[in-house]
Amino acid sequence: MARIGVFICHCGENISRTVDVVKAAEAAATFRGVVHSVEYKYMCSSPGQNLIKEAIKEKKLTGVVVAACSPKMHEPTFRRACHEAGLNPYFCEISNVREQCSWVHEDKTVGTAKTIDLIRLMVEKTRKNHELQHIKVPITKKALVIGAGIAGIQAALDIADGGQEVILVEKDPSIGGHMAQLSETVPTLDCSQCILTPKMVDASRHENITLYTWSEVIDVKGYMGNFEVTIRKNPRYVKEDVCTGCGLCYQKCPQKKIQGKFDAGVGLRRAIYVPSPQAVPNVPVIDKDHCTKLLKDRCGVCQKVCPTGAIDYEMKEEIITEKIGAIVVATGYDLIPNNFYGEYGQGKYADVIDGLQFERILSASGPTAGEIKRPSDGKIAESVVFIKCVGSRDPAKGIPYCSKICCMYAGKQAMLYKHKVHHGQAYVFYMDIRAGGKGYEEFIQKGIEEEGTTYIRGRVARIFKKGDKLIVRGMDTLSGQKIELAVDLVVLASAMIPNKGVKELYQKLSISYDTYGWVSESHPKLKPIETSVAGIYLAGACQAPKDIPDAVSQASGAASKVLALLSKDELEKEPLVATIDKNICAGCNMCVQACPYQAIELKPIKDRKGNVLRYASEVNHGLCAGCGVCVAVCPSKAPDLAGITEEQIYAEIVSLG
Amino acid sequence: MLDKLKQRIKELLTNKIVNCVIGYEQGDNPTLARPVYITKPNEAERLVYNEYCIPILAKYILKPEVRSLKLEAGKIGIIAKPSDVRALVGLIQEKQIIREDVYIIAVGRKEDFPKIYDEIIETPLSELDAKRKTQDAEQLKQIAEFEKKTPEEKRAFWQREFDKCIKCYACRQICPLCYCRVCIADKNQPQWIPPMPNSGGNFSWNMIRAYHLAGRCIDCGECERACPVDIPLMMLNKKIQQMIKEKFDYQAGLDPEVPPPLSTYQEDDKEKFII
Ligand SMILES: Cc1cc2nc3c(=O)[nH]c(=O)nc-3n(C[C@H](O)[C@H](O)[C@H](O)COP(=O)(O)OP(=O)(O)OC[C@H]3O[C@@H](n4cnc5c(N)ncnc54)[C@H](O)[C@@H]3O)c2cc1C
Ligand code: SF4
Ligand code: SF4
Ligand code: SF4
Ligand code: SF4
Repeated sequence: MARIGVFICHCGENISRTVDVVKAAEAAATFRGVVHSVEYKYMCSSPGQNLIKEAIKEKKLTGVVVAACSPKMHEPTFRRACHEAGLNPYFCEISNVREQCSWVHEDKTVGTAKTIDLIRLMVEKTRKNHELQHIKVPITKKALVIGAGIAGIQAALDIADGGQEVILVEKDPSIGGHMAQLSETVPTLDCSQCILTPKMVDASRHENITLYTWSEVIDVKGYMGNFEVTIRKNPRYVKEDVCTGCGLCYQKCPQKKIQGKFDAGVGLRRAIYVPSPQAVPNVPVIDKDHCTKLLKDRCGVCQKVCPTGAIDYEMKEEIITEKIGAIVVATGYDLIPNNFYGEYGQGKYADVIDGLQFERILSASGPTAGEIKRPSDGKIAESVVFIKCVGSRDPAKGIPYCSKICCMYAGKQAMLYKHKVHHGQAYVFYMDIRAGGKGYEEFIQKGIEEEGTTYIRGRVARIFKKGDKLIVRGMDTLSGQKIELAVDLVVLASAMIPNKGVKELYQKLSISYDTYGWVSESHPKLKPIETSVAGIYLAGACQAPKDIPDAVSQASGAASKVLALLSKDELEKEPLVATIDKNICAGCNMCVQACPYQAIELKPIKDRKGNVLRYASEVNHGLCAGCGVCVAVCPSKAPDLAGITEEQIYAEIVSLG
Repeated sequence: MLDKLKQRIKELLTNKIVNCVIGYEQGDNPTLARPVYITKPNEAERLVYNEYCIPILAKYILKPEVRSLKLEAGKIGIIAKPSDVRALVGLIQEKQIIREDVYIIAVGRKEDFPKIYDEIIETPLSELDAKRKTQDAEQLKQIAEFEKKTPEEKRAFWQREFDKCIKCYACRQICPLCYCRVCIADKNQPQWIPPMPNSGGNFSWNMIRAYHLAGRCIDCGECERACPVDIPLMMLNKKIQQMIKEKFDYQAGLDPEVPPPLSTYQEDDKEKFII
């Protein structure tokens, strides 16, 4: 015989305001199988939980119904309390009388009547509960980090230092991401390459890290603890294990005029190249869209000059599959394309460039060796205008968000410019200055007071060319005056956007992203590192515009989450999974196609001679998330979901008479 | 045409391309044709093909006796009308038969068939198919008329129609896509569909039947033909077909490679509530 206890929560006044909880408790006491029915101000508090625990012991309860807030809030709390009192936690059910009742009604009679109904049906469901045990699934002790910018590198290093194996996948030929392109960094102006290169080398040398550069993740299956990942290693046409990195090939390659990604188009590279002298791995790659050998089967110079015979024009892509326990997404950001803001003439005038291009010009190892030569004619720029919020904070352009770091790097770039061209003049057009970081405000002030950067509050309306100058026309909104400046160079602090192709990757990972393509965190405040999928974490600017310190701290956070997960041998999984009755299943394949978690497979049913008689579906309990789609789609209801069986749903409906 | 058909079936059986052919033979009177299994070349003489060859033959491919034949090697031949081929497409899609196990001999006009048959014996538009086409047009008109009713009138209409149902399940038995091992109507734990032919139970049965065929019904019209109390089941089926066409640009029974929209999970599904 069922002995069920009903516990009704006031939730302060949240529930009791529109529900007569005393009356509801009296009504519940009369339901079939109910032997105990009480109400209390805060059921989730520890005295509240004790009420449940004591009743389980004293009244020998076989089931508990808590009428309270959404099960999303406190189902785990109350199930744990039941477990502690010796009752299988799956005999505890939550009747949501807050979100689904008191919060949506004003009239107390209605609220009370509905609460009584909601409790009644949950009592009926509880009467048909079964004891369930956690499902144990083994964990693969290996992590995957996608994207090897500073965030990905940091996450990989921390996980590897924690003693776990890491696969680090980078789609570019070298690791390092955007930080490798930067000159010096705010607010302490240390050289970006100098602080990054040691980490890049560490990542490539670490015994626990396997690096796949020039590679992409093309398929992801499975679930937390047991992912199966397919990686495509694109052909480099240079054998990594043979190349010594001597560089003869790219010194001799006759294709010299290619605008590469690393120098952001302000410098040129060859058809065979390493992105930068500090590249890791220091192995060149052939750009198949520009190599004469690959395009027209002529040339072949690099193969002739390579002393070790590392060049292989026949190289094919390689497909690698890896079993993985946890994943960190660190795919970073990109800048808006240069034709995005036509008004500013970017793409039309060579001397209107974006922030990354200017970083390359500032960089001592960049195409101008750190001299501020403007791209059009190589003349030293005597005056520069920096424009902030180009694209950002502009709902009309579809980017209402703030790119966050532009205030800082525009200030930095103006300062670095002044360090190099002492007599030069730097102007910064701004909407407002957002310098909310440690040492950031002081940094900006220093730029204004000590380095003589001129800040102009206002928007630039138009840029056009006159002679060899660029005319920047705008408005100073503080003085209300029109402004026209004739300068040598214009640097746009262009909006940050998610990297190309990441949405496809996120779809393969099944993680959510916002309308722009930034990865969504599981909770904006309390779970900023978790994605919507268990076992997949995020780090760095793939979540939203971020500076280096933020990217690095988040990477270490993600690494600690991964380490915590991989420190276990087994994962406990909720037993609320579907099972298919093979006697009933007709093998129609509908549930197989419908299951969002690819948890179902058609398996042959054979006779004694081994002949296949028919097929029937089977659920992999490790993969099943208990969503119930298969139950809904199956015409003969062969699948049933533990904890929410068809019989229970039926009993609930029937209880309403 | 019939001679050509018989000749071809003889050849197929003699050359062991098929080990059985599902076709029609003369029934108890000249206006009846009934399904027949032909397994020997000389039996091909029994075959008929005329306007009385109505019952859907695709249904027979799932019969246990035919299935056991398949275990012994060789294909099952089937003389197919357009609706048979559409049904076969559905059955292939839902993995009830393997394409290679059947040999489809289409009889009719090329343009009326999905292009998955093995061979075709071309004929002008048959009387039967012509009749079906006028019937189709009438039903569509009926639906258009029905749409003009108020929700209350609509409900009253169907309540009246379903009240006639005697729960004989002939509609289910004849339907080529109703092949579940255990029909939801026969399950009793829980009993979603009350077995008694009363008002509520009839309503559940008829709605669930229509829903289970949503996006799968290949429009053969057999259920309505089989119904002894003349419930206009095709009005429901056709309305759902129209909606599926409109919302998903999909028509059942045309291409076994196209995933059925109502039972396929897609990452970019516009309905967020799925998971
Ligand atoms: C002009 C400019 C100046 C800046 N100056 C400063 C500064 O002074 N101080 C500061 O703190 N910050 C600065 N920043 C910000 C800094 O660049 C970022 O904070 C930092 O680079 C973020 O690192 P990340 O690893 O998250 O992303 P990224 O550096 O973008 O790295 C992401 C990596 O993932 C790879 N990737 C992307 N998609 C895939 C895929 N599908 N598969 C595999 N790999 C993939 C990319 O190739 C890349 O290597 C500046 C930014 C700009 C634009
Ligand atoms: S939907 Fe039902 S009958 Fe079809 S394969 Fe799945 S469990 Fe079997
Ligand atoms: S409940 Fe069914 S559809 Fe949902 S994940 Fe499990 S097996 Fe797949
Ligand atoms: S018309 Fe009727 S019998 Fe034919 S497939 Fe549709 S539901 Fe089944
Ligand atoms: S064939 Fe007609 S009477 Fe028989 S069950 Fe179907 S709808 Fe009812």
